[in-house]
Amino acid sequence: MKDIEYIVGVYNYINAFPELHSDSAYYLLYLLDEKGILDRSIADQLYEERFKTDLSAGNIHAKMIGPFESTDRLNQFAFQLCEEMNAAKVSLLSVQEYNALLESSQMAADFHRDLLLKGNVMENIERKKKGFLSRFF
Amino acid sequence: MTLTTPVPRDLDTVFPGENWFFYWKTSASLWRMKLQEFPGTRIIIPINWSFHSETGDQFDFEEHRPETNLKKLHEIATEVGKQVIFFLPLTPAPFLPNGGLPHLLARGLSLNNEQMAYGIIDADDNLIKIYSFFDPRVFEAFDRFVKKLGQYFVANNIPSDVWGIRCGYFKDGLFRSFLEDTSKTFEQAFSRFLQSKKAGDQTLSPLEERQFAFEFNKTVQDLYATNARENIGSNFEGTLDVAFLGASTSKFLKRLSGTISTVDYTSEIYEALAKDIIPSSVLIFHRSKKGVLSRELNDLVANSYLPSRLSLNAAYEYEDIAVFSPLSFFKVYEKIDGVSSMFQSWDQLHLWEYLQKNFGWSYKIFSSDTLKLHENKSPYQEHIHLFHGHDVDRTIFNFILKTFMNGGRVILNRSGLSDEYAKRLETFFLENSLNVEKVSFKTQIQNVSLGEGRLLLIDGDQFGEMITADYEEFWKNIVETFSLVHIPIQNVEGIDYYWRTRPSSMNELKFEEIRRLSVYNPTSYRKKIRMNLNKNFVVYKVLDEINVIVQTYPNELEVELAPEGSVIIDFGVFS
Repeated sequence: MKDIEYIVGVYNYINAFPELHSDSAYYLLYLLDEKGILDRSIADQLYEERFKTDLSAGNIHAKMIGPFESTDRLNQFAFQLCEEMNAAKVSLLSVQEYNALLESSQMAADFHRDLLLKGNVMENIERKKKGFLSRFF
Repeated sequence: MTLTTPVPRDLDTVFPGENWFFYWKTSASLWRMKLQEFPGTRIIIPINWSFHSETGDQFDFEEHRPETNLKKLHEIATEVGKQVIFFLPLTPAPFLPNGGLPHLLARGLSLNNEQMAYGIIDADDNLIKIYSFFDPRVFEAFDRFVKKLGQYFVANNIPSDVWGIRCGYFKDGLFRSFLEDTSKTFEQAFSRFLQSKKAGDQTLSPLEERQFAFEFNKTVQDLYATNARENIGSNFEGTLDVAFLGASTSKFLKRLSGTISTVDYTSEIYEALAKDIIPSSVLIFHRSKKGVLSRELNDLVANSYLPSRLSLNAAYEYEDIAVFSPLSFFKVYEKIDGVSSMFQSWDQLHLWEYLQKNFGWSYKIFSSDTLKLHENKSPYQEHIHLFHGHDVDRTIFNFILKTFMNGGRVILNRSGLSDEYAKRLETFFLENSLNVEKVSFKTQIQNVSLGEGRLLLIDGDQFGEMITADYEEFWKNIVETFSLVHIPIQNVEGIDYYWRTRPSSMNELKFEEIRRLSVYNPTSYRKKIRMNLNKNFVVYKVLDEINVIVQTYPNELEVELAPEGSVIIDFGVFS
């Protein structure tokens, strides 16, 4: 399998079920890599196995990944996903940051580049350490 | 072979798809030549508000720039034998910079229901952003623009039709308008609306607030439409929904990485056709529209659906024997309003999967807040109507009974049916001494017959733990009782296909109907499909074979499609 170079995640702090008076929390709305929208199965599994908490009960939304009680937990999730998928780095942006980037961009290619560079970028150092030869040995 | 980036042909830029003509993208002195070169007989001219008004206050209709001269454009088009239809966007338009707003009015970014700014990539790789239409200054400027436009049309005797268009996109199978907004601009306008609705210090529940938000969106949408209709006058034909392929946020993100495929677009074409919404490919890169996608757009939209949708009389003119109209066996109704997501949906009952697998896209979906009821029926296209109990009001209830008594077929999912209408149904059965057969199969089913009429009641709330295959078996057994005349297609995975129909002509009297099957292979694999022809069908014509081998056997048809292959097959149908 070809390694993923980067993952970009867009999240928001929302009340996913206001009519049920649920608590607001952080949710990942979109996850993408250089090949487009990321296949969610690995992310869903990671959440289910390592990030499910009391807050998750009744607050899981079919279209989003979450809830996460804090940005720290969200960052941890993103980083572990990056490791799990052996991606080189992950960039997280809130919808407000995403919107600000979009507003200031003129060309689609610039916006695409900024999504990766101007979010909260975490590098997967382990992958760097492994280097090129680790793919073969 | 060339190593340089292909430059889009100028004709592609001004004719971006389905006969749309972007008059502002070329010099007025070239209009005649370009229109002459264009093979179609009808052109659609979307009116670019910001091109005629930079500020929203002052207008240019030929005074300064010759490219704003719509009268001259109309004259030239008519002289070269083209019929002109104008489209006037009543919502943000994703193919225009700033969504079509004059730049001085583009102040607050509009946000979708995920609170993300709308981002769209147009056919020339420009990043388009959408600004809020809920700003009162925008509405006032729109009012001034359509007034001026109406006066201009009258003063210059431009006789062409003007259709107002609601621009939108598909998200999770639902058509969403680009007018929808959750930005601060929207919130400010909405809070004023809520103040006028609330009594004193009344506190609203989240559900009530959602209902009001839906009502407010609809009210504002109607305001723009009413304004256009009143100011454009007799030229104004009505409003149409237009779904722009590849315009949702998820497709935008896919397009950013350059990984979007033909299949991503074609599924939206069929979704739009099933919902009677005009699909538009004007945002798709010219290089992506080669091959099978281009053929699908031409066969099914530009040369078929679009002309019938824009015809003066009705969406489908059954009397016109030369025209193929979409074949549909089912009319599926599902109310979409502020609170509909709280109730049981056809998606939860896996109906769409069953229909798509067994009937392709041969069904119509009616999903608005009012559920426009269609009583027209042609002699050769009788439908099964499907309703949810929670959508039943007096109009729908009367429609169900009337359809049933006139020999029509209705499936009613009892989920959410109010006690009032449940009792009225029981009374109706008793008063007319109707025999109600009760069967338990996956859930409680009641079947009532009256002559040709069938009314099938299913209890959607009583399904136990079921997987998709169980639902498929359920729907298969239910639908088989209606004895539909149809040819299932085998091994159809990955293949796009679409059925259309027309009555037989004078020299085809041995048939009752002609059905046209268009088959396309958008994959990069060879595909072989088979059809068992039952006694009601014969292969009548095979047309437009491209990279395909069609073989007929007794009672069987085999079609082998190479990648990007396609074919059109006409079948004669008799009883």
